[in-house]
Amino acid sequence: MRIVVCIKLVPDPEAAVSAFSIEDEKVVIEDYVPWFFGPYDESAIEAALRLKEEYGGEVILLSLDPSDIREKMVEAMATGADRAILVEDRNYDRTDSYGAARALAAAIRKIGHVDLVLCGRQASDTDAGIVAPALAGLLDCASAAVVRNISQAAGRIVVEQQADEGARTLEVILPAVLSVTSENYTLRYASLASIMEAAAKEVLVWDISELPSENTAPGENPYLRCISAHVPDTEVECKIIDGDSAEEQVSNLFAELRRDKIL
Amino acid sequence: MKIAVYAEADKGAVTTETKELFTLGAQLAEKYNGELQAIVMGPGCLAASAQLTQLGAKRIYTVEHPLLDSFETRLYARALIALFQKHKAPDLILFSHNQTGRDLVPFLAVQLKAGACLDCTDLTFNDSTGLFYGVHPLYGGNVAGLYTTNNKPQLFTIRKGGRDCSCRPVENNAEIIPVNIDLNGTEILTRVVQRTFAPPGEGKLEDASVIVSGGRGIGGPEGFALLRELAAAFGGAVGASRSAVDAGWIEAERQIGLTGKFVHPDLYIAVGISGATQHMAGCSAAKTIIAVNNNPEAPIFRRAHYGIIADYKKVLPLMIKTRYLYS
Repeated sequence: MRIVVCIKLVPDPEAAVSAFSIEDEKVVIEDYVPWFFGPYDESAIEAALRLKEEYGGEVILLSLDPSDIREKMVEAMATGADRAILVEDRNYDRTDSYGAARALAAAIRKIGHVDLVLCGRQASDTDAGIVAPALAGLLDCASAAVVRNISQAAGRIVVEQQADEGARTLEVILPAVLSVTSENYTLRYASLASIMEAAAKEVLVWDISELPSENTAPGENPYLRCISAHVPDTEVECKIIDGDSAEEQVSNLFAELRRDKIL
Repeated sequence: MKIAVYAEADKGAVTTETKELFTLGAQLAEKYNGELQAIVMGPGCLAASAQLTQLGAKRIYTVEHPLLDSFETRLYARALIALFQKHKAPDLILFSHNQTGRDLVPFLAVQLKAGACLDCTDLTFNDSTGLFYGVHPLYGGNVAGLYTTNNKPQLFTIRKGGRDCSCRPVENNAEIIPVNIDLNGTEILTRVVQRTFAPPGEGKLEDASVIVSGGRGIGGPEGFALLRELAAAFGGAVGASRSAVDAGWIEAERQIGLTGKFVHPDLYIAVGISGATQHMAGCSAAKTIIAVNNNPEAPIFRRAHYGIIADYKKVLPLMIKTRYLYS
């Protein structure tokens, strides 16, 4: 099975709200915030690696991030992916989900014979949840969002999808695009040896102009636009309850709650 | 302008989520002089049209076809595209941000060459552009963005909860339009082979008036026993952060947060929860938040109303005892 995992660098999901500000309706993130592949992207990589371990095949990491993230891609490959592909686009806008889906679709067509595409359920910056189903729409193939388990049985892919009522088990005909949630998939650590091996793995860089142009018209009106943004003030005044012992703290807490008519 | 609700019905009965969408749709239609419509597909959709009439839809498109008996993303998208080839698409279509919304809407959007914004908490209309704008959280909820789509139909999935779904029936006549579409020969690409229903537990988190929630600081599944006891003492429910769920300490249905449930209890007791934005997005609607955490630097102490800096293993048994003494 050839599995492509689409990953994207995002600012540290645990960055404090103080790291965000707005300038000219655009979000500005402080320089000190480190960038990682988000937790759901990591889950997608883990899901791909487990499928490869169990059923064989090839795992390709695909990203639209600028090629100077090569080092991070090598690190990501150290967990077990076979190769990586970066698509370079001068006009890359990491907040444009539909633009990303179009570029990824074009790259996947160029890779060819792709059985399964995995993405994280949503990126930690846009929190959009758009790329995976949009990619499936562009490829006009099977799609399931927010999947917490993937396996193979009798030549069919079987997925457990988070659903409103609990969960649904689906049989999926390949090729398919699935978005993955983190419940059962935590990305394994890479050993020092595999980090060193990863340096020898292939990282291809394609320019966006090399890709089948049908869906990548530059300057096309983005399907979705962010008009404005603000940082909501969410800070709450917290009464820290005093006490020399846990008994005192709890006693004081209940006294406050009663005084404030919460209880 | 035409404002449509993508309605869902379970065995002919309109869902609560659909009723919430109608509350929003009706407000928008009234405020901006629009006509409220409904689109309902799949088995029992004709039966649902009576209810949809009472909810105020002026025009109801019903789409029935054997291949639509079970939801499948590509089939449902094709059905909607076929519908819009026969009848001009509405200007705005509201979907619930539920599993159907997450699966269907972006897929449909690209095939319609439109766009969609998911998980919007509010919609407004801009007179000069003639477009609807939706509020959507970014960066885990640290930023709130205002989004619009450039092409019609505009598609938005609306976050569930917090809207009236009592929907008293209104005097209304609706034009019901059954739509025949040709889906024959379309391959079914995904098939539901099993449904698993979440354990009922103490009832839906979204309805709970008291929630005791645990995070990474609980340290393991055993610690949740104390949280269950405290919840029971308040007649409440147990919730969790994504960390605790991913660690396998508690079932996923208990997860509260941006990718979990959104709750609005009177009282939210956050135990061993750091206060990450994504989690707070799910519980900040609580009237009162009490934090128990042994890390004084934890961001939760800037988001809670009351804080105890201590080991929860010492504090919770005392809270349980005190609660029983006074209730």
